[in-house]
Amino acid sequence: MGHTRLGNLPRTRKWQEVVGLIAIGAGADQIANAVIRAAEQGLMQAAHHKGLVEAFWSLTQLTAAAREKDFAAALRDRGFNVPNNPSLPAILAAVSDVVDRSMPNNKGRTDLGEMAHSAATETINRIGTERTQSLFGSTSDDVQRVFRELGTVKNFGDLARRFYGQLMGKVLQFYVSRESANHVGEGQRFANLASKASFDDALSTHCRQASVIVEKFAGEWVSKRTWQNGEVGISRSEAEGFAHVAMTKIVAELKEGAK
Amino acid sequence: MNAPDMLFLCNEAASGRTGSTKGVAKLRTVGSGKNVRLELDDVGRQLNQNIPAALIDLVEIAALVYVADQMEHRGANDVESMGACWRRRMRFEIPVRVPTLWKSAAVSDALIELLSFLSEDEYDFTFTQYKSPPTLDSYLSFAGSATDKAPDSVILFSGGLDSLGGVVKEVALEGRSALLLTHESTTKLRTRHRALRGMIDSAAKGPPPQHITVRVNKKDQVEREYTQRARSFLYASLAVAVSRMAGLDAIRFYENGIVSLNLPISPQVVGSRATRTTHPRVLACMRRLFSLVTDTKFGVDNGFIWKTKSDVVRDIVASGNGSMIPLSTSCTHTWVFSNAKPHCGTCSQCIDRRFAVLAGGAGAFERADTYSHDLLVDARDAGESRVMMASYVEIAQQVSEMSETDFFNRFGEAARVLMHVGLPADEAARKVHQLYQQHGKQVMSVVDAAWETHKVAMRKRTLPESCLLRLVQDPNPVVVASGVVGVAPRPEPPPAYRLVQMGQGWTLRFDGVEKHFELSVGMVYLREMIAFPTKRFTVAELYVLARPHMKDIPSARSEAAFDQTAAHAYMTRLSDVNEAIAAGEKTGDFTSVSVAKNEKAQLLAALKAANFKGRPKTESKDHKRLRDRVRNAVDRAIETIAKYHNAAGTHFENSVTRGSVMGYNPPETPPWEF
Repeated sequence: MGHTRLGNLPRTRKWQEVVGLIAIGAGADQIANAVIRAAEQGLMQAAHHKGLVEAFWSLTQLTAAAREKDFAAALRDRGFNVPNNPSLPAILAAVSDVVDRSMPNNKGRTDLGEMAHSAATETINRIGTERTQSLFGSTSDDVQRVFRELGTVKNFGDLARRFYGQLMGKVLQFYVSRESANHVGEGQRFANLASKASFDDALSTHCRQASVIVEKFAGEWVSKRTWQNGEVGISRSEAEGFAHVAMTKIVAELKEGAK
Repeated sequence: MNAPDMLFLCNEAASGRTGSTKGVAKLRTVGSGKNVRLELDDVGRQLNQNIPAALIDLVEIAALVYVADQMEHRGANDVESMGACWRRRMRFEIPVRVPTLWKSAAVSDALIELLSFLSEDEYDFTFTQYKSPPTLDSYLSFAGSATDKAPDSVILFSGGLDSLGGVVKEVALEGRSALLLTHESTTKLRTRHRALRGMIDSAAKGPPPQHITVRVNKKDQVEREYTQRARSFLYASLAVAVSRMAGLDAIRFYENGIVSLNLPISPQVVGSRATRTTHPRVLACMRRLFSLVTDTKFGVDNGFIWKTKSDVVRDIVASGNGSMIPLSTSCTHTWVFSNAKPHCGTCSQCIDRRFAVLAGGAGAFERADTYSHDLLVDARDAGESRVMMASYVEIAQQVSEMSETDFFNRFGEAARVLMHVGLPADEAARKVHQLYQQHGKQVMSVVDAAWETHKVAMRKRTLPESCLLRLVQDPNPVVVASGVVGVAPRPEPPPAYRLVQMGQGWTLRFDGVEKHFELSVGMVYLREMIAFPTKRFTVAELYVLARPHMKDIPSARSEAAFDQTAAHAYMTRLSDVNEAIAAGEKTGDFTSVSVAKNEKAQLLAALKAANFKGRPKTESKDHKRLRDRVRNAVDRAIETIAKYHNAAGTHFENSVTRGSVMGYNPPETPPWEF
């Protein structure tokens, strides 16, 4: 039991260009550019995938629920299975559960959706722990305050930026990790595993920088939607529209901004 | 790309259909045309054989799903479609004894939730009334005496290290009367299993355990998909049936927490590419389904959820049963199995096992040479073996030093666990982090110990370059002039404009921004041109410069040198020289006449060498081909540069003339260094 399956990059010309660039020591930005060019078509098709939309929509719902007096009840009304006085880990579990339940019997499940699923909980954890100082021990009031603050134009932009930065970091590593470990060792691109880990960090950093393009757009978007929709909140179809535009922007940024 | 879609017509559902259709398969567990073998051997006669019909249905459904799971390929490498082919659509038409139960929303939902999370496939079941169902006896083979006592517990015993640890705990330490259920997927391990059973029987504190062996496979079928993600559903369903026959209402897995949670070992491992065999959510789904089917509060748990594999090994050794360890088998690459080397040493299970054996203090019980590849010092081929090893160690190294926050920043997948381990989310999160940190530290303790053992070989670099220790160790320490290892001196800043071939690629630095490119002849042409700005190169010259071993390109050179423009220039100059000679002779300026005659002789010699017969030649096919090759290579190089470096691409696009005569002639030449 416990079998894990690994794969390689396709042997097509565009993917072999990625392999070649890893081998000859190209930088994180150049490899990101090459990967995005190779994967662009599939990525843009996947921008409508349910897992991505649901993960992003969950983030909007957390901020909306935090504006209400009874945070736990507001979360449950939105489909999050949380106890009274939810802690940060309880919210991570509830977000994960709500995204999973949105795709019963795996209808609409894709790799991008799975990565968005993880990226959403990772982003919530990162921001939550930054603003409450700790994963454990934060009170429900602390957690509610954090998500209420994330509903402002500036902070929601930051939330969206981090989510897309984290997601694109995962997407790039989804491809690059199929090849990079083959270039570790004396006389190779990476002298050792630590050197490869530094490259992985550089790739993540590059994605975080590229995701700045989403920040301003996201803040204005949520402000407009909140003003227009009022109590109704942001719908899934609106979240889908945002997800597609944001993906378009960050893909373009990774292609053009890296030059 | 469409997801694989299969319809499985099972038992009586297959009877009414004739012929074969693509995407449709017939599966029969009994009767004529039987092609699915389902056998439980050595069932003790003390077990109650009057088990409910719904349980026989459960066993059949599980066997059919297990066989079907192996009949259709997953597209593991469909990276561009985001796993569209990894997730298949599996439709089943199955006759059952209790259709009202299986068609009920509660049972149907529970079954689909379990299977869909386990394997990430999409399932659709159509249940019909079984007209002539077989009895359970059709699948059982009885043995044992009637006086055998019913067991206290049913343990799923795979013959691997974890389940061995569970058996040692219950049978050798606690003296429980256990029934061990083993799924025999290959006969290759039969002798080892038998020997291990003998040792377990001898070590039993109470009554020796009972053993039941299960065999499920499809006759005459070459296995197409080896991932077998639905395997634990079969395994558990059989155990449920046996436990109910023994009057029990619980089954227990023994699998270490790291494998049970199975957080992705590498970023490419998304979703069920990491197995969820005993994931806490799977066990929760099993509890729900089996409770509905048995109409009891049925328990399914994992006795080792908060233990690492090294912990399990340490407990086996501490119990005095370390000698059983070499007879347990973890490797999935059974096709390379041999009695001398039962473990391949390259699959994820072998890597995990060997680290656990060494970290758990059982190195003395299991020789390193029982692995085809030594964990620490053998070379690893490029590809899955090396990527697996590198990823495993890298994750362990990182996790061993991660705070709780960093851990959940990195492994969002861990949030899937928190609701299903029977603890408040905070406590569950804390325990998951502690478990992984413990695992990371245990793995790195093995690496540290191995460095100490092999330090001489490491210093002398006699170990293979791709072995684990060399991959982890920095093989290129900075050596200063005195030979003392130290901190590298700060390097000189690189030039702002540079185009050089480095190793297997080109490095271009333009306006301070550096990019790398694969080897290409276009880059060679480009480098030659920018090395001599304003010089005009014929395509033949460039072609030869890139191929110094070639001495001559005759047709190309002559044609290129005397294309229409060049010939016109030569003829014009010859006419001017003739006029100069005539004028000099007329005025008696013999010095000018001599100079002009010399030039005329050179011009005529050049024309003769080019075989010029008085009329400019049209471009030949050979020359056109050569010109196109060179120009296309330069075009491609500039295009590639533009993909990754806008400014450099634009600069070359505007500065490099491409035709029969080529050159680099920018308005202002950057200070290139080569």
